[in-house]
Amino acid sequence: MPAFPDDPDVRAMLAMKAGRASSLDEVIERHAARLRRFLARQHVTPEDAEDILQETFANVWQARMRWQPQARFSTWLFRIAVNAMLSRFRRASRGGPAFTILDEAPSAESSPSLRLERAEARVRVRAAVDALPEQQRLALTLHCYEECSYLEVGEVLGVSLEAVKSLLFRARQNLKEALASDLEAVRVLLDSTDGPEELRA
Amino acid sequence: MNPVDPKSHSVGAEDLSLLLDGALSAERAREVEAALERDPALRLEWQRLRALSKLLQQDADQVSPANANESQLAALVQARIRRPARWKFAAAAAAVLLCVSVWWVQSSGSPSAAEAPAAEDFAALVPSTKVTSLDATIDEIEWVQASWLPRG
Repeated sequence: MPAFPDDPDVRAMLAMKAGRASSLDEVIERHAARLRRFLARQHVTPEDAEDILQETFANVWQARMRWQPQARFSTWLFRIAVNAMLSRFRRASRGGPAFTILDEAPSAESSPSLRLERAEARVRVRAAVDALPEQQRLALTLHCYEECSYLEVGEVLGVSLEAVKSLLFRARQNLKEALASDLEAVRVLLDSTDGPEELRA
Repeated sequence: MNPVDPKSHSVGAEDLSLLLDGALSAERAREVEAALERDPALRLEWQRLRALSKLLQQDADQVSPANANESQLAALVQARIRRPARWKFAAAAAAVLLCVSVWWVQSSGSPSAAEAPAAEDFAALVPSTKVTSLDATIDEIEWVQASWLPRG
């Protein structure tokens, strides 16, 4: 009995196991955008990202018989995508920046100069995240952007729980150093809501 | 002055990272929070960590992939997963062609097995002694030629 019987991904995988290739299209429809976003955060060019996505979903089909319904599908998918991405990076050097910083939507509260300031801050954040060592960047983006748990990050990267904690800690330490001046500005703003309770909430 | 909790000495930046993720046990979280109350340096570190979290949060929805054509992607993937079947067909066709070619070559013009010299015939002709000089080698070649090649 699958652990997630109502999960549409589980149903699609079971259909694929039975030989229905069209179910892969549903999986692509549900997950491609998220994977594309994840790859953009890994500094993958849009062209490379499309190739990696093709390889990832083709590998999902190839590996469908080995997939176990007990495993969370997205974790398994991310693992395949990360492997496809890393093997591509090892074959060729990494490309230029792939991400686009969206301009903040204009509002009554935000002036053009404030929006520009925030956009510049985001560029610095992206640059600092990009500069992290590969494993730290992967762990951070999976945890902070893709909302993967420690356990899921460990499964995707094939490392222990302790290693995940260490990777996240070191990533944050590196980011704190790289973004010291930006952090100081934000810290002053947050100072009025000091205390761990607010943040966890 | 508050009494110093010895446990607070062991609270470090890694505990704050775990506290931020809600990954500490309830007991350890209480210890870290108590240490934050007492230790201004630790509190400053916590505030910087929160600021970093806020910056990352703001960045979270700002990455926009350049293209997002899922139906085209699905078509390319479907073409890709069908490709191995075509390769298998091509490999089978190549194997059949090879077999036919070998059969054709064997059945037209090549010497038959009965006419061709056997490997043992060659072995018997090759002297077992080591080559000691150039003259000896030339003698042996001439001997092989005289024994094997048809005389004019």
